[in-house]
Amino acid sequence: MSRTKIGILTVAGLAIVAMVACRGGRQAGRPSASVESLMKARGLNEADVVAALKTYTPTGKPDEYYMFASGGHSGQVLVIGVPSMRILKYIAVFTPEPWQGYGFDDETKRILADGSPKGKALTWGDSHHPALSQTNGDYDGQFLFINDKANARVAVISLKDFNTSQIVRSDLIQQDHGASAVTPNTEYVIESSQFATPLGNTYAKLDNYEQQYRGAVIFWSFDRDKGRINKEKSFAVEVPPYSQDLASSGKLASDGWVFINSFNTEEATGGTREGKPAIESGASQSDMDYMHVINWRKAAEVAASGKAKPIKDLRVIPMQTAIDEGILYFIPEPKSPHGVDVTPDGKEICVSGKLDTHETIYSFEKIKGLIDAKTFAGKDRYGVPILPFQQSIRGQVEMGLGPLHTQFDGKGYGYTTLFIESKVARWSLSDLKVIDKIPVHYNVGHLSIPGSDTEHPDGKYLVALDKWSIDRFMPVGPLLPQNLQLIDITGEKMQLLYDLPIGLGEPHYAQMIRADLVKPWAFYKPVGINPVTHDKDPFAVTSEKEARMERRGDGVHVYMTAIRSHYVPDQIVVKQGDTVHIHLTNLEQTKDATHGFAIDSYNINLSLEPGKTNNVTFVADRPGVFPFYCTEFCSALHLEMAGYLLVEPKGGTESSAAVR
Amino acid sequence: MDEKDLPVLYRPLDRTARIIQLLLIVPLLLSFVEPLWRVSLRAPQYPDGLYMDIYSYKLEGGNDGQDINEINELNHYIGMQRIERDAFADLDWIPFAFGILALLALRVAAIGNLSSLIDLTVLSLYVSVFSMFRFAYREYVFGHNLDPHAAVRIQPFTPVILGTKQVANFTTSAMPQLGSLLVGLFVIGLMILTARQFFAARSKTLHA
Repeated sequence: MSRTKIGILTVAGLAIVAMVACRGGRQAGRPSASVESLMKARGLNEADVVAALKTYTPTGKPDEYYMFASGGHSGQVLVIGVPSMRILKYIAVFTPEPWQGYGFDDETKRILADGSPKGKALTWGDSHHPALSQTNGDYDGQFLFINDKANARVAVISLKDFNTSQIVRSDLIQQDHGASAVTPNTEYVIESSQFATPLGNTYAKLDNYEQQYRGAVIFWSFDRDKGRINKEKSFAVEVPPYSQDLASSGKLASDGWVFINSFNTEEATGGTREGKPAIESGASQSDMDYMHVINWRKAAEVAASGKAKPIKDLRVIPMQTAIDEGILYFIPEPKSPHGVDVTPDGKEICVSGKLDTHETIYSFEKIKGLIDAKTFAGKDRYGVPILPFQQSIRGQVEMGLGPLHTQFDGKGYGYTTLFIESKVARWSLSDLKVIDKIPVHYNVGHLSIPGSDTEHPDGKYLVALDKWSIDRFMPVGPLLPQNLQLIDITGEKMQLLYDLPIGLGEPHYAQMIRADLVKPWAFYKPVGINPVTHDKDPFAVTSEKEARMERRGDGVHVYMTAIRSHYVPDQIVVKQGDTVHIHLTNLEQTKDATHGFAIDSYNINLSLEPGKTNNVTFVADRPGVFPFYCTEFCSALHLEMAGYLLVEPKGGTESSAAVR
Repeated sequence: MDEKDLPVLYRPLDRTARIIQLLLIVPLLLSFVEPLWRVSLRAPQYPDGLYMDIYSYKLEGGNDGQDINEINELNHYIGMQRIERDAFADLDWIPFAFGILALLALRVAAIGNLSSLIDLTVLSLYVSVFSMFRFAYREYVFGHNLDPHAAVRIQPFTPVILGTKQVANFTTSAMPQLGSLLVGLFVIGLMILTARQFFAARSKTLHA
């Protein structure tokens, strides 16, 4: 933005603020405060006022974009409004979350159990890379996928209710940095292992790393109609133990291919006490690593033809088959690369070399030509054909120190984070030159521009996801918040607008989508919807007349309703040792009329949004009196929205009042 | 009444009067598809407000009927009887009354004289005013028949019938709707027609 424009904007802004201030002052009977004196009092300059005017969003006014940011160690996803940077929701994904009752009712317990390795309940996750679902290479606002790097899990979130509906995990791999990414019609959600292990996690000594350790790229088949990943239709491609990273899907010209970095072609495994280099230096010895070029359409055909072999719970295309069938190729990429990003037109692939000062721009046309002509520079130690580097690239951008990730604005510019410089660089895709840099605070990892990984990016804002905040906020002790910085990229110079501290976990990556593309439900309609299936729950009751208690073979079933400000039934009497199934339906159809349901000391806490049915099963193993109550301030008589669970002791002498 | 006026009352209506009479049936019939009255509530927590439309034969809540549920949900705190179709017995007979008025109007248009026109006008006025009275009475009953065990005990009151009234945090209002205007058009039309016929006929007789 030119200086004149900023000046005009500022003057216009000041005029408005001044008018409001004058009116306000007059009404309050105080002397009118001019904007200049306000600026002086708060120590603000013109740029600050412009930034405020560009981000301040008055009450009741919605934002322009949704940002979905990973919640890092919280195992959650943050929903943030842009440009106001107001946090709207923490979507519970990989960890139990009390407010949403996530991990407390039968359905969400099952979601978490489905994604846990056998015999081990996971209570944390390391959510990393969110990916919005796409139709024809553009965001469709239907689903969001996110991975848990720590435990190699991938979750499906429905954007109808902003709730997690499925978590999948394969026993094939142990850990995934390289997820999530989607193909242009969300046919597959791609997940790559970072640390190589014996596939299926059998035991093998580290000495046998080259022979027995492998990486895998999993293609999770997504059924859009059901809103679920279909494990039976999913498959994986076996790859060398090179530490694969986040995938970027080809589109348009490069449709049908995916591009994945690797950063440990040295096959370092540590062993410092035995005189071997630590992984950090061992994995940084070579000047080049290998970008993996995978023909996923071909891979899907090969998997369907029965050439994939099952390992544990997934079909895997063996590496040799992938080589023989023309599925897997390598291209050298400069030292320890981090990000790989396909341009919106699908013609070029941009790779940042973390320990190289360049961004390398590969041409898909050249890559395709070399593959078709079988022009290879050689083969790696596993026999994977390697394409010649110089003949694959269009050129390199002299970027600066520590380039990590790149996003596109759809207007001919790329934006790359420079971790070591703590800056974001804007560069021209046409002449491969950096034209602007903006300092960020500090140690920036990913960045996000709406629609950057689609065919039509919407380059108005950029958010830098900074790992360190150092001096940006009031001190809160030694564990500092992360810093999400909003940057205006519409002008000639990028302008920093706003800092959002995240005191929850480390958001790795975020995706932004235009607000009007997301159409969430206001509540569950009609009454009795199961939040996971989005269908009528078989145990739902839709009126107080249907509410009842029944003793059956598998225990006591309580068909219960909640509406302001009471439960029906509100007294439940069972016998010690009974299995109790509570099927609770919120009869409300009013926005925001959410009720909670908590039973004292039984660790039960449900969230019932209007129209939702929740089921919870527990064994009434301790006798006594247990009040239950509504945990949401639903109405003036919220405190009175309560009832009693009575558990009769075994062998009691009184005549039983328990459900017959 | 003057003796020499009597034959006028029994003289068949002229052609124009019959046509106007026939046309007046149209708004009466149209009133079936339009609400007669709307009761609406507004409070800080309900930025879009809540409303209930009263038709000649049914109740319809705003927001796909959900607003009536919400109004009932709120009313249960003060122990008010649930507002539902069954509690409005008047909506069983009003459509029949309107139907009979339409049939009588048809009869007047076909074979009527000034006398039957006056009968129809008086009957229509009576039905409209009586319906209004019943509506007011129904409101009174709702507001005065409160459950003594309700969570919130308030002075019995008559909910708003016409205009605006503040009840706790709610600004409530009740206003006639297009349906009432259509019925009004029918009744007022009849009155004007009757007056016109009466004075025209009388002046004719006087000058005869």
